[in-house]
Amino acid sequence: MGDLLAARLQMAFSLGFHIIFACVGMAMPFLMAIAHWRYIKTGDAVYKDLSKAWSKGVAIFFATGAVSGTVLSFELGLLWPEFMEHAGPIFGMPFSLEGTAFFIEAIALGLFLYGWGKIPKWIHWSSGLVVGISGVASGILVVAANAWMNSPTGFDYDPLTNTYSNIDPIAAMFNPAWFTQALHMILAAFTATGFAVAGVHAFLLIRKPANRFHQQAMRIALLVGGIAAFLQPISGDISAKDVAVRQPAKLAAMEAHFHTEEYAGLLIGGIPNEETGEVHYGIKIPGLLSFLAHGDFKQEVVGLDQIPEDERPPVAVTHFAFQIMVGAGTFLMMVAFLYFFAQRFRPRWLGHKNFLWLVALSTPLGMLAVEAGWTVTEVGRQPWIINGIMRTKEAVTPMPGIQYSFYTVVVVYTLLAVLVSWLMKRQVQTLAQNYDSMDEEIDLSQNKANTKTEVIEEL
Amino acid sequence: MFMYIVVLSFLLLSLLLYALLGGADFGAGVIQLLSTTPKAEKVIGRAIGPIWEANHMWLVIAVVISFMGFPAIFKVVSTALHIPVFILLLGIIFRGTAYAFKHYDAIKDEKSQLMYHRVFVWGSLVSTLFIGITFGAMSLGKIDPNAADFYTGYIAPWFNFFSISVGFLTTALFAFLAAVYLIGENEDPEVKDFFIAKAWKWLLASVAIGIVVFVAAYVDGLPLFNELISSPLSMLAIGFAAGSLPLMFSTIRKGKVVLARLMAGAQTVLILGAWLLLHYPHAIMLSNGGSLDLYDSRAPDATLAVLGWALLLGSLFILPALGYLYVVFKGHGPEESI
Ligand code: HDD
Ligand code: HEM
Ligand code: HEM
Repeated sequence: MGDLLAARLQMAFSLGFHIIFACVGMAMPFLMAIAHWRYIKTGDAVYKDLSKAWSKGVAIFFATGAVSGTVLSFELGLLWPEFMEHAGPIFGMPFSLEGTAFFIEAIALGLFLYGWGKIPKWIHWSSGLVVGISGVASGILVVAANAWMNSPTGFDYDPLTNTYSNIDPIAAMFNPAWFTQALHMILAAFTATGFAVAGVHAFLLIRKPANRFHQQAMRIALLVGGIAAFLQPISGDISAKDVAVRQPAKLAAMEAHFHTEEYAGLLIGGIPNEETGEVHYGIKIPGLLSFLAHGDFKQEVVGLDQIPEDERPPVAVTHFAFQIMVGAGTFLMMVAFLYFFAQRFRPRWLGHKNFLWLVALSTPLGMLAVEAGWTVTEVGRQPWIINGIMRTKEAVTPMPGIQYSFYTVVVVYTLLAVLVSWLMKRQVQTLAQNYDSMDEEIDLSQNKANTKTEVIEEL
Repeated sequence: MFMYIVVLSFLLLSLLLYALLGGADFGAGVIQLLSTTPKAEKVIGRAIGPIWEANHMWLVIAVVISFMGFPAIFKVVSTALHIPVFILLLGIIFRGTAYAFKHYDAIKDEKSQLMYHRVFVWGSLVSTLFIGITFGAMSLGKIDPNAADFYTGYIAPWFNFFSISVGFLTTALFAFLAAVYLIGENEDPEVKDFFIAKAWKWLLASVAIGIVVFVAAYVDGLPLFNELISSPLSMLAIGFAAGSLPLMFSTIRKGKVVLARLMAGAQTVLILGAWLLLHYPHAIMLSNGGSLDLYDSRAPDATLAVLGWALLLGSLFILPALGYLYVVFKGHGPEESI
């Protein structure tokens, strides 16, 4: 394996690992805050238990997110020293603000996890919320840094002398892509986490359909994940329009759109052949790509034939990843629709085995879409690390033997992933013995609790 | 120039706080390397539980300041010292996750607890060792950005007597810091004695390894001793650090918690300060006798200006919140986690 390929794979693997924990870190505090708030309002112990049980899982996720994030901040230099030397002073701004956000997050997390019964209840509740808010803030900031790599602004570049001048880090942070990317990412975090959590509780409900604890957990998670899943395709459409203007090569690769044309069709499925520029087995909906990219059915959409050969991104990977993301997104949106419909008009469906299986099967889809979406963004930018300015191969470290650090990262992270899953399993196993409300059953025909515990305990 | 000073001060401050706070977290793992007791383990768990994530953020801040504010230095460190930094990261991964897993595992059976404990302790050792090795290598002067072969380029800069002995010095100092902090974390005399004994041993170890560092510098051709003599301020700092040792010994023996903590902190500050004064304005010594200097490696003014403001504004948020965290969990940690 070449060093460049190893470095790219190591970066991709590290980021792909971190993003899962980042998503949980952004969305989960809000799920806990909702449960916690309902407890403070209603005094219903099931919500308190839910909030506590979730926060135990979250602590494990946070620690893993924090170390994998720390690794990333070093890896930027370990793998891409040439890139960081030039880009650091330009796109470092969001990272420096992110430091503050992380700090507040870590502090608030300490207060939230260890504060039960130690600090006033509203301060305690707010500390949970602050964890979520600063998590989202750091997500927005780091994505702004990534957006700069897609649409570099805030400096002048002289290709002859390879110098970067007139640096304006604020302009770099508010680059043209930051808003659409950040919006889409934050929604993705809520979709992915909401469905992952709902799916796990739905799975447990299949075995114990009347369990109130899991019922309420699934509903809170589906509420949050469902709303986000509804907005996701809208935001995705905004992103696509943005990409069409800013990175036509990426859009062409996403759609395996080899030939520039008017009335360009939207490709669904299909296996692109990069050599011949043909696509097999796909369905094309005429004019739709032109419409989605530019809001006009007849407008020309730039194809790969207009991109110099050495500036074309890998088509197959980008296209498949895009199909996976959109497929998963469409599916989740339909599940969300079904949930809201049932919630309003057919409450009994929510306890039905088929519905529970549907939600359970959606568990990994949000995270899958997140991974696929990042593959689109990052692979679709190749061969550039800074779009149009610096090539990835110019940025890579001169140190040979990167494949060994790549293998190490793969082994260590795989081990961690297995351990985290195993720990989650143990959390679930012990729910019943830790929380009394776990045994409460709900009368399915009335959709209401028939045993409501009195809460005397102070928060 | 003003913003350069602000940014540099924050870089030094975050490194210092990382040493004082994060270092003690690492040290808490290291002191359990040779022996530990279940009670002591519990005290350690409670003391670092609520604050370790926050302590560890100083490292991330230092990294961000260096790549945004001093990009050339960041580049050279991450290239020439790629290997020790990578091993440091492995240490951080294992230590951080093992600690969290140990405390949040829903089933606390002996077998898995022991496994987490071992990984935590060894991860702490690896991390402190390689923090020290990295910093030692920066000042030794074997870094050659134009090296022709793998050994001179990526191994020789850090795999040497001096850097490795600085690694052990860092380990011993962090362990000492941790032991002193922990004396006051619990009223149980048995636990107190345990930490007092640890503090003693690691203080002795620090002094001994400190002497080895001077020998190693001599062996590896770094005129550390001469440099020290020619820098009166550094001399003064080291003099204070050494001169306060007898007082240190007696406060630890008497178990004077606050004074001992302050003095241990001051010792660390003095040693780091002496090292900085010796080197300023050089950040990295190169094998051709030259150096990478902080001022010359700074980012453009526009970058330093916004970075300086971001740090100043950030600390308005961070410091009060951090203060509240320490006040809430001061002295006695929470009885049960969650
Ligand atoms: C739950 C996750 C999820 C779901 C359901 C979707 N996406 Fe997405 N998408 C992401 C998660 C994501 C992401 C991982 O968050 C990305 C990567 C970079 C970014 O900003 O968001 C992304 C990137 C991304 C990009 C590239 C943006 C860029 O390079 O700047 C486009 C064009 C879309 N998405 C479009 C869509 C469309 C049309 C969807 C319709 C269903 C969709 N996404 C669903
Ligand atoms: C789109 C990509 C990313 C998103 C959305 C994201 C978001 C987040 C969030 C929400 C957290 C806090 C939650 C947690 O600790 O689990 C986090 C942690 C962290 N991230 Fe990322 N991140 C991304 C990529 C990166 C990159 C590229 C870096 C480094 C260059 C990075 C560095 C860190 C660090 C250092 C932490 C630890 C903070 C702590 O200790 O609380 N992240 N990230
Ligand atoms: C966490 C979500 C992210 C994921 C899953 C992700 C995924 C990837 C992938 C798949 C690659 C390899 C692309 C290729 O070489 O073909 C890559 C490269 C890279 N990414 Fe990301 N990325 C994420 C976010 C970010 C962010 C937030 C940053 C920086 C602020 C970033 C910086 C980089 C860099 C520097 C490279 C290497 C250069 C390159 O290949 O262009 N990534 N990432």
